[in-house]
Amino acid sequence: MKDHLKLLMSNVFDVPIELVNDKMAQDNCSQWDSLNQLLLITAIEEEFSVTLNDDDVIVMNSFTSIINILESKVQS
Amino acid sequence: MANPDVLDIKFSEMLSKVRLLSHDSSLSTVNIAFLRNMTIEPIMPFFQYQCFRYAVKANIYTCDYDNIMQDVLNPQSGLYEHNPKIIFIFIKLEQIAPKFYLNCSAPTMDHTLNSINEVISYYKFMLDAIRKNTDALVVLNSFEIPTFPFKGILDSQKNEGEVNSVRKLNSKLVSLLKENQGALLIDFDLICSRIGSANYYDNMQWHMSKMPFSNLAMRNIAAESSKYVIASEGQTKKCIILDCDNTLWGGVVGEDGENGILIDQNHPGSYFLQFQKDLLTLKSQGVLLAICSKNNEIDVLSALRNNDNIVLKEHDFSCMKINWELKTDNIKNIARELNIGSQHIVFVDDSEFEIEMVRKLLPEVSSILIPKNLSKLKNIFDGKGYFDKLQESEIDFQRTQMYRSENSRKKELNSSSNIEDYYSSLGIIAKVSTIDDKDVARVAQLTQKTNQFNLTTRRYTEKEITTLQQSDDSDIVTLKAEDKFGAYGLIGVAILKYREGSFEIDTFLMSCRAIGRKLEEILFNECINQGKLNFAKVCDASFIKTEKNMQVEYFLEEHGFEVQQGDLSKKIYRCELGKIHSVVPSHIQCLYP
Repeated sequence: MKDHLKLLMSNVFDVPIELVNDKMAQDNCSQWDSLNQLLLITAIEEEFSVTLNDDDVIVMNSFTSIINILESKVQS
Repeated sequence: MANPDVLDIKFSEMLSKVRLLSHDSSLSTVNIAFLRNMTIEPIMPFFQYQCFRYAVKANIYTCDYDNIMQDVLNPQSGLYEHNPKIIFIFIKLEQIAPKFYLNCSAPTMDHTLNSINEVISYYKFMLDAIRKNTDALVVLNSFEIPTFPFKGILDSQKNEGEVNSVRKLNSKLVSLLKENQGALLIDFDLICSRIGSANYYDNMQWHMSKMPFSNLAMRNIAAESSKYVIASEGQTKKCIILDCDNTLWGGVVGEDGENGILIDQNHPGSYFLQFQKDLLTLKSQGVLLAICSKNNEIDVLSALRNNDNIVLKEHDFSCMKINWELKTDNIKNIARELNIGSQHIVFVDDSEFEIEMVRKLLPEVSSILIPKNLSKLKNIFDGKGYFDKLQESEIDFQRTQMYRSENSRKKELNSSSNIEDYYSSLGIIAKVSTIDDKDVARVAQLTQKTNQFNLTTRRYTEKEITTLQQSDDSDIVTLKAEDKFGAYGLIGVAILKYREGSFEIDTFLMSCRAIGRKLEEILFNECINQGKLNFAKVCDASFIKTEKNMQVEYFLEEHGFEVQQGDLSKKIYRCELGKIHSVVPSHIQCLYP
């Protein structure tokens, strides 16, 4: 799942995949602006077959927070 | 498949393909503009991708959020500078006509007609203004019928109900466009019907970012929009090349004989009969039909001549290649004989082997496999836009061109007076004050998210904002606004820091929703006022350049500030309060606490 997410984020933010790591977050990545956040939500919902709700979206500002949300959704 | 349709391709694969193809300088480029009063940026990559599939590179300009009139009325706007060939105007009805929905509790027919006429006038005004400045093709959306009106089953009974009002509005829009040469409708309501309203809207995205569409709706809108580009670039299909056995009829004519093949009024032969009738309809619209079949010629010809159930006759086909050669060679020969490029061909066959070979060797041909489930045969061309045209006939097109050139040369009103009238018509009310406790979260959020209209792009947490609020040496000024369509909320923030005899504008930003109305002047004037109240004689400010804030690069110069020192990334300014050039926009009513 982590690798899949890294590939997805590399595509959405147009960042080489080597630079996408566990520490990536909205406040340390200049390409992670509100517009790309929209694309990220769309991409994640589609590629992981999940529906993100308001609570999810508010905390989705780092690689790790996204992994946490996805893992909790896969469990349920 | 090498190049899946935008309706099928995976999202992130699409993004990377779009980035790759953006660097391809061999593709022909078309300038396209999008004017809009909702967020549509996520649709752009889908749109670009679909255009790339037809070897067209779309060079896109998007107007600032909800700045349609500002761009349309100003001959020097980014819109006209972009020199678009096609201008798409995407409008959400609620945003320009809230009355349509608000007063539906007690509408009368008069009220409904009034609301409709207001919208039509708005469009007429906009189209006239566009035509003064450009010959571009204009494409505007029809409005989606509300599928769950408040009055439920009663609503559909009335002409003034929600459902029928929007239908009537759409109908009037079509009439308006008929009078306006070079303006076409893109039918969003039809798209919504195709996929179902439950699948069309994304209410969370709408509330979060004013983007109303689901992933599926975005793909469909992108696909539909691209059809206008592809048709205008002459990249549509002109000819369908058809196999015979298990394509035009069930069975193999060489084995079953001319009357043993399956095609008649009864199931399942009826599927092929319907398919042939649909092909005949397409032919009557000007699409060429051709045959490419591995058969003995005599077998196919005798079926066409002697089988009474077959509706397609020999003379319906512009070319026939019935032989045992490679289909790819036959297709190339048909294209040559009909004098069309192979990119204008659709190839239909029931054999995966033949389809894969043509896809590999002639990728510009659109190859369609006859579905195993024959009930789907009816839909193989659905939604592809293969045969789309922008007008009925060539003569219509030439007439349209002449008309547009005549009209666009007429210069009537001075357009700057038009924009002032437009601003006034918005009825903007602005409220400035220093920050309230309940605004802290929103202010912090704006500093974190605003990139474009932002002089210094300094990011603050809620705690930092609270500290600045509570300190005697600083102030946070907020701007809220509303217009006749509704409230914008808190859309402007300035952070001021006071010193002995001077003050600094640490932060000055406007939400992208609120630009293009001169609201920044109100915020700016209040900064100066606050400076004066704190006994400052001089104002310090700076501009820190980023990739995104070019639009405010000269904001301070325009207000009388002089650069004290500067380089490529930062400019530091100073100005005596008496020398600051302030603007008082007459169309904004300003309220102070």
